[in-house]
Amino acid sequence: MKTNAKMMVIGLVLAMVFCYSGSTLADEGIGTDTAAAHLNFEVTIADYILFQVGSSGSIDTIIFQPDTSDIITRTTINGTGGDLTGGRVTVRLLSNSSSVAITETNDGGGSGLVGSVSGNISYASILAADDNGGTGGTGITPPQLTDAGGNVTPTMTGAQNINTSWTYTYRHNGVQPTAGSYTGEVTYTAAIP
Amino acid sequence: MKKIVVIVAFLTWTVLPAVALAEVTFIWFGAPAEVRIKVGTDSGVTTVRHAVPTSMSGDGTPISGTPAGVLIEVSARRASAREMNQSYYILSVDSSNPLSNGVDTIPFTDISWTSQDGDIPDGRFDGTSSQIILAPTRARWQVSDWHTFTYDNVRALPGGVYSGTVTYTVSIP
Repeated sequence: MKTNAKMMVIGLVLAMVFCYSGSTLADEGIGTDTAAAHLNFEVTIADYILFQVGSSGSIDTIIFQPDTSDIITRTTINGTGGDLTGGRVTVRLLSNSSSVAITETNDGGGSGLVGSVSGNISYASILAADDNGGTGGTGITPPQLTDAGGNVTPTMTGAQNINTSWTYTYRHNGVQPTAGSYTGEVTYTAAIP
Repeated sequence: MKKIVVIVAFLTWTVLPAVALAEVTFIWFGAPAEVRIKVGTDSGVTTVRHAVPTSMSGDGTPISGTPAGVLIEVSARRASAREMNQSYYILSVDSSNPLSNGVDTIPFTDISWTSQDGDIPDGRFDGTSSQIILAPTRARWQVSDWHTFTYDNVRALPGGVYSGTVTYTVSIP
């Protein structure tokens, strides 16, 4: 009985030693007092652009109503309307692309805003300004509107997370427009150049 | 009755380490003294990948890593019974080099982990070269745990693949 007990103890010890050396224990780093192992990480992020001008989900209208004096003296007037009112619109750009630029186009076929009766008003008469210092600050300098469209902002490099606003004003460009209402729709497109 | 106890003990010591459970197990002393560490698979360096969907980029939605669990095993066998009972070891990690796409970087502080059972507790990389993630542990114990890593995803970052390496070190101070 005493012999059997000794054999059991020896067997237990052998089992412990065997398991320590033969199992899938730590095997990458081994040393006397220090050992190291490594773990790699990867984070993959796809390019994206989120761009908003005005209300989210609808198209805002900026309205200019110059009076006779404004037309004669070429006075710059503020607009009304826009999601921020007073001729102002929200502008939001969230992008992780290495670069992004904004292009303006319109539906005027190259002629500008189209009169309800006749004639046109050039988009050059409408000025837009950023309310937060423009590109390089905390805003975005809007592209100057043109009749032909296609004017592009300077390319912004690196990730962008900008919340700003643009304010529109009107001053006729030297050619007094015929009385009436003139309408047009501008599209801004943010894209990777 | 003693035979039954021995058989149960034998099965415990042979089966449990083989399936690499998250646990704390006793290790016997024996020459030569050695510390061991294993992180991930048996060979090569394991890579934990976090893929951020375009629709979630930078919005704060935590992004789990793949593989879902990474095994970390550490031990410090000592040559004698006295050393075994008197020695302690620690596990630290160096996360001081951020992930990078060659131009932009992500600090490792954006990555945290959860432990399967707390043997090597939940934590977050602190971006230093010597973060202790396992408090001093007697050399008689081998500690195994599975960690699941999560990327915070709170930054607006340029697109690309960001890669980096952390180094785990087991040592007897």
